[in-house]
Formats: sequence, structure tokens, C-alpha cells
Amino acid sequence: MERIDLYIQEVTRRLPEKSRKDIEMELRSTILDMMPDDYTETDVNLSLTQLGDPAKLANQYRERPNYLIGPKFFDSYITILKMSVTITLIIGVIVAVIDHSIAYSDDIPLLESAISFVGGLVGILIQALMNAFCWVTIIFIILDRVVDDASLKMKKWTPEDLKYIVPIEPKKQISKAEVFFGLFWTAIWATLYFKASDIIGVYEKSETTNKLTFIEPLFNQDVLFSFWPVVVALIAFEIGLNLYKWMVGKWTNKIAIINTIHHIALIIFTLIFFTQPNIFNVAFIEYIGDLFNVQKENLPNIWDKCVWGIVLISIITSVLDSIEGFRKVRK
Amino acid sequence: MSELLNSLTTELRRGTLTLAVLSQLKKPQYGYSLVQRLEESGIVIEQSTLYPLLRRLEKQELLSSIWDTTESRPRKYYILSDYGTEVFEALKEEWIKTSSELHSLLKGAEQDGTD
Repeated sequence: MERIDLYIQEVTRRLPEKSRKDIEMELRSTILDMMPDDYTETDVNLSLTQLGDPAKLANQYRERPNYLIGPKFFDSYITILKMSVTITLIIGVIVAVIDHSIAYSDDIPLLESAISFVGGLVGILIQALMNAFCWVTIIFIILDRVVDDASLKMKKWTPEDLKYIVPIEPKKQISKAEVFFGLFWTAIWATLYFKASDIIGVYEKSETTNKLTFIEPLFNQDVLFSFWPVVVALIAFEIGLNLYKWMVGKWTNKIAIINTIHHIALIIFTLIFFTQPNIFNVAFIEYIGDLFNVQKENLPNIWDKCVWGIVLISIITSVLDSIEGFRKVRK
Repeated sequence: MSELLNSLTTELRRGTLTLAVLSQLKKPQYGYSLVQRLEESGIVIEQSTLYPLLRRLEKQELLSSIWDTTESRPRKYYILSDYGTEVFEALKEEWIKTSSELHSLLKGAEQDGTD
């Protein structure tokens, strides 16, 4: 008798409370039915063997699925997971950079600062990734249980639906690498912008300690940082554009137009940025002038030429990339 | 080969189990009596599959159940509901149709082989 009780307990403890009582009664009468009235231990063992592993039996009784995310949502789950991990990585890098620039103090040497930055970055990324993974997974586990099959198949598929599908054409295709490098580029220039006053400038090797020290930044920090809302908007625009490219997967007129708008915004920003009267640190310009033995009265002129040369190159690059976008659509 | 054959056979039989169970429930049966009836007809069904199946069919309203407590030990009896009878008849038709189709298909294949 004891074994029968234990067996039933092993089954019912795996089942929802409300069905336990009934299943317990049914199992008990079934087991007794299987044996003669004056049963022995051997009979008990025999009938329990026939019923098999209590865990498996309980599993058969269970109505809820024994998976977290079923086939109907698995594909979308993986897609959304990939996307959110990518977005999380980018935002994580940006947060880490901003976080670091706020915490940064001039006394800390570059190497130490870099190490603390990487440490902080890894911490933020791990935390952010775990968060992204958990939330996406939890939402899909709930979706899988709440949404029933009927509501998913509201409309029957017809060949007409195919007209909304974008055909894959190798020449127009936007590779994942392209999107990735686009996002990577955004992360790099965003980092450079927010860290410019600590990174971009003149370094000098100290004779005594043989260490590189940062002397003069290239930009005037106050003027540089006055642009931050525009820069944040540009970053958001670039991330959005890249994600949209990823979603669509090929060059379309719409993408080429958005890409051109992006480049126009970039050119306007570059022009306004470099025409700010005090954007450059005068001490930096003078330091460079000394380095190349430029006479003081010629210095502003030469500096301007260099700057405008760089601006011109970036404008040409933007124009070429915009045209390239439309050229890919026509292919 | 035999492992694959086993799983294919199980798969083939799985769909017929519901039909077999429904066919025996025009009169009320309790779990173990149903097992015996099926076994008499040569249908082997794991008991760990049958009892949960009965509960599922009850939940789908194909069967109704009643506890008989008049005898020495209480037993749960299952019987076809009206809806269940309807579904069973339709399913039976389907089975007869499918098996005759498959029969002629297999016979045809046999003849092709001997040609």
C-alpha cells in the first residue's frame, strides 16, 4: 500500500492543485483494478511497472506546454532577440562613454583611464545584455501562453500577400556587415565626440618618466559640448537608419532618400561646427605652428586651409555615398 | 533502422488511438476495463497514455464522466457525450475512407512491383 501512495504522490505533486484530488482517486482505483484483491508486493511492483515513470505519467496529464517558447513564436523571438541585443550593445557603448566622461578627472593618466573605461564598458554591457535577454524572453514566454492560434491566423494566406515581400536581389542587398560597420562607425565618432577633450589633442613624452601626457586638446570644450543635443539627434538618426536598412535588407528609393537626408544633415552640421569662431583651442594651433616652424602671421591662414580641406573631403565623401545609394537602387 | 521504424509505427498509431478509445465508450467504462477491452481486440496502449488521454477527451467535451461510489472501491466511468458520438461517427467515416484509399494505394504499389 505504501508504495502505491508514494507512486501517486510522485505523480500528483507535479500536477496543478485543482486536478490533483481527482487524478489521485482515479489512479488509486486503477492500480487496485489491475491487481487481484489479495495482492502481494510483487503484484504492486508489476502494476506500477506497467504505469511507468511517474514523471512521464504526470507529463502526459499536464495540459500546459513543457516548452517556454513554442514554434509559432520561435522565429520572431530569435529575430527580436538579435535586434535587441544589437541595439543594447550600441546604447551600452554610448552610455559607458557618457558615464566615463562624467566621471573622468584630469589627474588620472590615460592608460589607467582607458582601463577603467573598458572595465566599466564590460560591466555595463554584461548587465544590459542580461536585461535585454531576460525581458525579451519573458515577454515571449507570456505571449506564447496568452496568444492562441486562432488569433494568429486571422487572415488566410493567399499568393496576393507576396506583393508585400521584398525580393532579394544580390546587387541591391544590404549586408549585415554594412549595417554593423555603420553602427560601429556611429559608436566610434560618438565616443570621439564625447571624449574629444581627453583624447584628441597633443601628447608629449615626458623626458623623466617616459610617459605620454596629454597637453592641449584640439577643441575648445565649451563650444564643442554646446552641440550635444544636435549630436545626440544625429546619433539617434544614424542608429535608426542602420536598423531600418537591416530590417528592409536591400536598397530602396526610400532608404536612398533617407540616406541622402542623413548626409545633408551631416554636411550642414559639419559646416556650422567648423565655422564656430572659438571651436579650436588657440593653444593647440600655436603648438602645431611651432612644431612645423610656421610664422605666426601665416598660421591662421594655413590652419584654415587645412580645416577646409578636411571639411571638403568629408562633403565629397557624403555626396558620393548619397549617389551610390541611388545607384544601388537602379541596379 | 528498427529504432526509426519504432518511432514511425508509434506515430502511425497515435492518431488511431482516439478513434479506438471513442469506439469502446458507447457504454460506460472505467479506466482498467477499457484497457482490457482494447487488449482483447489486440490494441496495445500504454496505460500511461490512456488515462491522460481520457481526461483530455473529457475536457474537449467528447466524453462525460461519473464517479461510481456504490461498489467497494470508487471508479470513474467514462461515456461518449452527444457531441462525442457525433465526432466519433464523423471520425469513423474518415477512417474508413482513408484506409480504403490507402489500401488501394498500397495494392497498386504492390502490383507495380510485380510487373
